Amino acid sequence: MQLPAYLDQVLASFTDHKGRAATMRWLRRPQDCMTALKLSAMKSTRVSFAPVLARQMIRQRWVIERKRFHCDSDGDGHGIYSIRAGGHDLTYIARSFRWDGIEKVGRRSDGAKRDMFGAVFHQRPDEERIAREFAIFDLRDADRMRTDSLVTGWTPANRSARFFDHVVDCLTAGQQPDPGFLGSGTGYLLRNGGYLGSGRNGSLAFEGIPEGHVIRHPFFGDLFGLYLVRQVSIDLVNGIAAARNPKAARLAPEIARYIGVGNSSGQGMCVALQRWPHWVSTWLTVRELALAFAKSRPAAEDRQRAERLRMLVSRASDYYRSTKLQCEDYVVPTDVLAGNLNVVRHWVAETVQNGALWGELVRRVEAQFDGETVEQLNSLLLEIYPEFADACAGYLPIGAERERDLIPEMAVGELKALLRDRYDWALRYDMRLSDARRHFWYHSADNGEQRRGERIIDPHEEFESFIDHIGLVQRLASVLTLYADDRRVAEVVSDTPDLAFAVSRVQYLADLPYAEIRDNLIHKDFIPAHLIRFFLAALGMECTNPLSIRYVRGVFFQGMPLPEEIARGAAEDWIFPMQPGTSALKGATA
Amino acid sequence: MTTTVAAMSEITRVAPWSLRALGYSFGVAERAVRFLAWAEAVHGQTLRTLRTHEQDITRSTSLPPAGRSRNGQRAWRIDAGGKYLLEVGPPAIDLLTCDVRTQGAGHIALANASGAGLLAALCDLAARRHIGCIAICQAGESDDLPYDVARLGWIAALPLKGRTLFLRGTAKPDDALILSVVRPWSAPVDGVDEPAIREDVGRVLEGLQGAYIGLSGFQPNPAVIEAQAALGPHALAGLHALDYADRVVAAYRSGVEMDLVDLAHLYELEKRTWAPTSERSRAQAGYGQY
Repeated sequence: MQLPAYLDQVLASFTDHKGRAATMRWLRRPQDCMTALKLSAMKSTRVSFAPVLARQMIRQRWVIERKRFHCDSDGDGHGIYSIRAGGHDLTYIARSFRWDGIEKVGRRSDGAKRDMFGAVFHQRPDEERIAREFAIFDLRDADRMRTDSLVTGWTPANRSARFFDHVVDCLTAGQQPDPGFLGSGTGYLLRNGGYLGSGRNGSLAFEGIPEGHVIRHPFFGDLFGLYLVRQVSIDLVNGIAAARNPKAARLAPEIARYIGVGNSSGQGMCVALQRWPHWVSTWLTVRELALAFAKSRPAAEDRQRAERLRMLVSRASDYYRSTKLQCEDYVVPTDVLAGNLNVVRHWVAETVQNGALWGELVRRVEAQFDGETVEQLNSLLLEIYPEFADACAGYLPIGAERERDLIPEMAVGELKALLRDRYDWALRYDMRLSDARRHFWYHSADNGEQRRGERIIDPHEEFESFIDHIGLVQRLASVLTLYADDRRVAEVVSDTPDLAFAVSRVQYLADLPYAEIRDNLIHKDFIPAHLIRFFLAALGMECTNPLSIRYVRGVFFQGMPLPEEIARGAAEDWIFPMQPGTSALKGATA
Repeated sequence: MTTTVAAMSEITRVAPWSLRALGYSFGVAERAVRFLAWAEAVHGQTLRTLRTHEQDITRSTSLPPAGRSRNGQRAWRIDAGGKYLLEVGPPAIDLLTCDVRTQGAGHIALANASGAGLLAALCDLAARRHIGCIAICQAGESDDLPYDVARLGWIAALPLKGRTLFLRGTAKPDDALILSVVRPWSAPVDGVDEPAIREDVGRVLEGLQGAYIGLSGFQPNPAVIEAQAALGPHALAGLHALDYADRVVAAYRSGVEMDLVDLAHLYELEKRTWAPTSERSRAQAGYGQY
């Protein structure tokens, strides 16, 4: 397998020739880890985007100051936050709306019907500009709401009513909420309603963010917005409680830190993965290389690393034990994960004693347990070689910027060879069976929400979203048989312009490992939640929990230090937070 | 007319669906949108054609494929048969690129193509591939052109270090002037196809029927690229240097001002690709136990 030059250099700077060969031996083959089911099992790691952002925030000591926050007893309010981040000034504003009694699940079809809207400005706007943005939010009409390039994105969010109300009621009564109850809902008060940035509604295009700006990094704008929503959720429950009772308690920092921000995602994420395969390649190559490096290391070479792994496995086990998912279909239940990891905890010490490699521990876990337990261990292995994983993570923005352009002078014979070499699995796939092409995916008139239909039965098949990469490659291979090997690709595309996408896809992915998902997304039995979970784990979401085969919930930033802690200088070790005990917290008041 | 500001990535996100609503396939729409957004950023008034020429564009998508034939060892003749550059333009640049990269120079005689407002965007593609490109054009009578695109004219896209220099003659195409500009820019080993450029100029000055675009491509001379990058476009007397690259950067940073009705139409077209809602459709949405 050929590594991108950047990662090749990273590897060279950490290993000698022998170490490099050892790492490469542990790299998984795409066919072993790129089916939807395998991808679904993958967990957030320290090279996922949210943890990468979190480390940057903590190391650079970003300052997030609440300049103004006011809401009434029903939650109708406004907030303004000023941010100093890595030498850049940003501003965040939040508009929370009076609770209408309707739990909103956060689908695209909800349009502007949200409990909260926020906007991230990449500068310091004046009061008039801020007032204008608040006025846009007050329209609450998706068709009329437009912003401009001062705003990098909007952060709509909705209450998780049961938990939100519990926290407000407790605080109003001068009490702290029950962390156990919060944990049972994966610990969040507001749920992301879909980041609206990168040009949406007239916001700044990603390419327009100045070079060197802290949020000119894939997904940093989105995720920083989520972190701010989490802060608003904390300020909002405090604000409502204070409006109801001047003697209300304020959320204790231990509990505030335990609160994350919820997220729910649907099938559109699968479409994005198919549309941008170089993203998939980038994320997985970084992850898999960091993992292979860790696996190739002797467990006994550094007792501190081994002890840290044992501690992290133990913490993960405790975390899963304290977490109750809303639905346990399509996933390994959290109590099973907790039990498995508890066993693995003991195996860590045995691996050290036996003088084995970490990769051998993984093999033992693979032989004994399910894929999710394996992937959780894989994720934690990256934590004990942070210097290598973090160096690999430097490739994330580089890999994302790869441009797809046709190579028109390529000989048809060369393209055919590329197909045989890289897409043999797709060319062998039998698409003639009726189940193989049962579904097409489309946008619905309900605000463009991505849905699945059945061919022949449902309308609008002619406008199906592109997800059928196997069909695409097979069609290309079929058309190429009409051309002699010495003809040029430009002639093929000239005759069939529609094939430009297929040709350029095959060409630009030719030297990228881990790019194409080894599954048929239009098959009757394909479960979208598998790939949604993968995308969310790559973003850094914990507890990815499918509520249906097409809809996944989870939580970001649970345990992440609070703004005042980050400004003071916080520890980076925040994943899998321990559930706070309640006894010491009783009576913490404003 | 009320104006608004659209983000570049808003255009590139919405327009593929708008183009599909007009009848383009996914592969064509996905490719064309890049040129559409670029032209909107540089000229403005490009998305407007999706509104003003909606029926023509729609009709063109079902026309027979463009005809392609060799017109010499490193030249092609393409009869677009009324199709728009959205569809036939990028493949024409592919053919040009192929000949330049494999044979040192190339020429495309592209007849009966509509939508000449995309010409600079297509030349930009060639330049981004490090190919010098001269386009000599007579736009069709019915073409709705942006204000700064002449119906009869020429444009050169010349790759510099890290960017593209665009030049435009200020008068009618003049083959002597064009050749005096491009000769030093082309690699000395295998220069521009001079007879083809003369022929292109002659054809568009003849006042022939229908649209015609002559595309000449050549390998740029690296030494001249270095020198011009240092001197800047002011060194090119008698020519109009176009700040297209700066306009694109500005568009990404601040958005593109356009008529609200045109942006609204772009969205309206997109929505035509959205399937009507129904109980059955809603049951296929993400949330819920289905």
